[in-house]
Amino acid sequence: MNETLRIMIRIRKYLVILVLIFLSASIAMPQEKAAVRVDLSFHQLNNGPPTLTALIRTRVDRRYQPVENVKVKFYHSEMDELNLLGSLATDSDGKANLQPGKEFNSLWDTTSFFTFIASVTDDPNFEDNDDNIEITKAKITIELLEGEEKEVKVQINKYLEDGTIEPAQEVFVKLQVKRTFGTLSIGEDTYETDDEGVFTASFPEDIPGGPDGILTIMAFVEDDDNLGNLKMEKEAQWGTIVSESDDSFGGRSLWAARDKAPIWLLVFPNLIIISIWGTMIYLVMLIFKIKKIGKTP
Amino acid sequence: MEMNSEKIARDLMPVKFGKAGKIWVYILLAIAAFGLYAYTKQLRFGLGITAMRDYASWGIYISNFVFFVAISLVGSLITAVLRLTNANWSTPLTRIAEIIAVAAIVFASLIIVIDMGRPDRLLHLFAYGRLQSPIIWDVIVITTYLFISLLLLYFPLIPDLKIMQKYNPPIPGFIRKIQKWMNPNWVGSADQKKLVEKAIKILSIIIIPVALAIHTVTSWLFATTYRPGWDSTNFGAYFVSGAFLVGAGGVVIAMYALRRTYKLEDYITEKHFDHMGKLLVLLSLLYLYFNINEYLVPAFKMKKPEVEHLTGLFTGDYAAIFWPVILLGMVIPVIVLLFPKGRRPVPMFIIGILVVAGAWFKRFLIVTPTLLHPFLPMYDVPGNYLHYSPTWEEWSITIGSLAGALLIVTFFVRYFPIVPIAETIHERNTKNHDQN
Amino acid sequence: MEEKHNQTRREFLKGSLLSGVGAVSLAENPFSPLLEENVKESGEIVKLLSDDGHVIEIDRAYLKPVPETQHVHNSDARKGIPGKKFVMVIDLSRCKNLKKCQAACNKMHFVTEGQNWIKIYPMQDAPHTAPYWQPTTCMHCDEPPCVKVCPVDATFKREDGLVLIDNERCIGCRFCMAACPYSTRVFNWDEPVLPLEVLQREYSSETSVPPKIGTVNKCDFCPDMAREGKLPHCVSACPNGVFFFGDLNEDTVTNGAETFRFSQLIKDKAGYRLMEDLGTKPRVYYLPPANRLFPFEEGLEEEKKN
Repeated sequence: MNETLRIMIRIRKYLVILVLIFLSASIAMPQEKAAVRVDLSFHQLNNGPPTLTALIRTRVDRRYQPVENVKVKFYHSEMDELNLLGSLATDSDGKANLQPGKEFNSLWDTTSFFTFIASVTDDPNFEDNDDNIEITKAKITIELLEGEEKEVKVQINKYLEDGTIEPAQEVFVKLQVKRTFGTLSIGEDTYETDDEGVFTASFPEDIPGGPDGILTIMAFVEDDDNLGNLKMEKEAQWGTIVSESDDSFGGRSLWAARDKAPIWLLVFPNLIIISIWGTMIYLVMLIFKIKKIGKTP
Repeated sequence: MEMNSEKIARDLMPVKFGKAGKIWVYILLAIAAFGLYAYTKQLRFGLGITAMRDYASWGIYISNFVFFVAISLVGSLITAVLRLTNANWSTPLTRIAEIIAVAAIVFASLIIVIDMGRPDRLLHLFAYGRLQSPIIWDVIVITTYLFISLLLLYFPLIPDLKIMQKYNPPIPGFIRKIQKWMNPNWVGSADQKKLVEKAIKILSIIIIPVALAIHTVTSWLFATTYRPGWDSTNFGAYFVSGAFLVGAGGVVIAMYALRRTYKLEDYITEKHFDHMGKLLVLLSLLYLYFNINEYLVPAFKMKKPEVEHLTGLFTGDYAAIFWPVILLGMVIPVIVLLFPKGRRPVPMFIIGILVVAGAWFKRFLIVTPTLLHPFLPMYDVPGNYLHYSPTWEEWSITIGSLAGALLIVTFFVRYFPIVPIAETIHERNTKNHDQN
Repeated sequence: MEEKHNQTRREFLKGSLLSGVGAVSLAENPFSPLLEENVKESGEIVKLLSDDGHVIEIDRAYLKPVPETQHVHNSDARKGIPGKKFVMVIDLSRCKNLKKCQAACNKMHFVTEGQNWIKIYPMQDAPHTAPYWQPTTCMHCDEPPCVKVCPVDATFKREDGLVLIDNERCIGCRFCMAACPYSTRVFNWDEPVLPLEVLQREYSSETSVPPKIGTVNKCDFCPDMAREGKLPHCVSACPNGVFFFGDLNEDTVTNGAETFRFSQLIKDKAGYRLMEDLGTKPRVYYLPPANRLFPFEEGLEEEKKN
């Protein structure tokens, strides 16, 4: 009798535990979270400190829309708290741009190959996701040659494991000029570095350069599989000089401000006004003359 | 009939309002007051209480403004042109013409301020005015014309002020004081007479180019734009001829009303109506001529931006106004007034009303339809932007301004002799001397 | 509970990050260890990201609030951004009448409900010719008829090519509206309905905000954005890249994604201007609707949606 009772109690206990587990599991079960897409990219300007950009997007109506205010964690090598480079929330464009802090510098200086990871974890609205990229550290240089014609010589070298440098071959590079809004592409769509990691491109003579002719010339490695995004800028007085001599905005005209009215408009109307009003003033004086005549007996 | 100076003076003295006069004044005051009330509403809520919107951005306020400026030219026509051409029959009508001109110009300026979106910034016109803008030209000429008209009203009035003092008409004390102040010690001496004559002559000469300028410049508010119906080289002459016509029509109405009310049959005679009738025929034909030029020539070409505008006037939305205006405002006057019987006072009065009413609606046809036929389609706007039908506020303000102008004329007639006394006496005496 | 706390902290972080980023003018660095001695601490701690990637805490009193846009006073706004001559190119072969440009412009400039600074017209120049959708902004003409007729210098032409309106000068005569052949100007017939924060902003003709009753408004090519190196709102809002904007002095225009040499683009694609023969010299060029991305009818469906 005792035996059966003991078994029954045990079964009931297990049943209760089972039910509790099931219940807690169902309570703890998360709500439907949307999926996000994480795109990590590597950027470096003028061989300076690197920047990692994570673009977080989610699918809305068959289209990807950037998501704001999602916390992204950046790691190097592997997704471990020790390797955390930083944590940022995305802006209104869905981008989180992280410049790793000073602690990363020693690693950056001594290593040539990197794995970077960006991850979205424990976000209340979105499922976990991450992206990783593998980057080979590289160095890009621009040389501006003024021979018979203007030429831009771009050299790209990549770092090897032992810290030495080797030319980076077959890298696609774009040549650009910085403008007020964005950049203008120059020459061919892309150039490719040769075995020496070099290419030379001729620079057009007719790019407008502002009042002093200064241009900011850029070599841009866009989204290379190994090297990431590399940008190098150099200023040169290689633009045509755009003078402000076009003074159609400053001269006298019908559409200018009141102080720049055309001369004929100043002369003739005023002449007419002065003569008419002068006559009227004379006539008013006649009234006073009449008055005077009437006073004298 | 023998008329001595004393009879003339007594006949022409201002009198108190009769029953009709009082009713007339009360009605005008009521209309003007209601207009004022509507305007306070506009000051509070903005121009949104009108029916004007982004396309019909100028409405009956502006067409009323053009109407007022047009009528004001009567001063120069009757007073100056006829005077200079020695048409002495016009003498009794000169003061009527001048006071209509002054009243019209005053209210033209007021209605323009009413049309402004920010009347609180009126002084900007003077502090920041750009000489390149046709509006500034209009401000200058209108101000100039107002002062010339006031002077042309004043100088012939001087002898009459003295005469009034002698005959003591029923005029309230404070007005009498003002009239005394207005009198520059007139004794009727030869020197004084010479000066007054000189002043009147100079004014008559300079008022003509200024009058031409005032309506030409007003027409340039439209002709300096690219729009169909406005982009015409003809606009200055077109507007000026129209102005003379409506001014003459206005004078005819006033002639009839005053003659009947104040028993002025000896001074505003049937001969005057006959002369004005002939003048009206001439002016109607002239305006008709300009209208034919303005409409027939573009219709012959039917340029794309003008097609909608012209068909809208001839056969479309505005045909119901366009054809009556042409027929009743121009054609019928010519036909009726070609006959001597048509130039009698009563038919003249009716024709005068047709001419003036036709002119008011004509100005509307000039202003708003063009704005509703823009170059680019009327699109991406609320539905009520596509039409223009003035609100009751707009009508009451507009009619209120007309009432206001009539009030100025009415009160002037009450306190001043509307037919120039001294000049009439002078004329009759001269005629008698010539006859004897 | 933990989630909510994270959310609050995240929002706080984001809010303070943005205000911190916005608040830091280029010259000042509120994270500088050389904090001002005589600032009275408020006790309110703000978390900000320093430029070496750390989250730091700082008393709010050390932040110097500066308006987010580089503010140009109304009196200075007549001069124009030096060295620039703005120009716009609109590619009619890409326009699908999505009206995103209109929505963005209306929102950022608080345009009254029903009115639009950008109008998208269905056009067909002649029977048998291609129907197309034409987004129409202000042309910012080089010989602007609106400026010629303004009696009080309330609308003016600047050295950088823009035609702007000074809503503090305008007397509401509407002569400019009659003079403009492109029907581009709108009028504030009624009191504009605005959030309190907008009403309290300092007015500048470069932002055209807040709009004022009884005055005129129109597209301004967003000079406040240009001062920050950003494109006008319509340009950024268009998903099809219809609008190109740039500086004629640099001979470059961009829609944010693609950049072209302006002279090349106009020549290659036979660009033209609206109502050229009126002599207004507009600064907006159109590229003809050849090789369309979408048939005209798709634009009609967009119309039905609205």
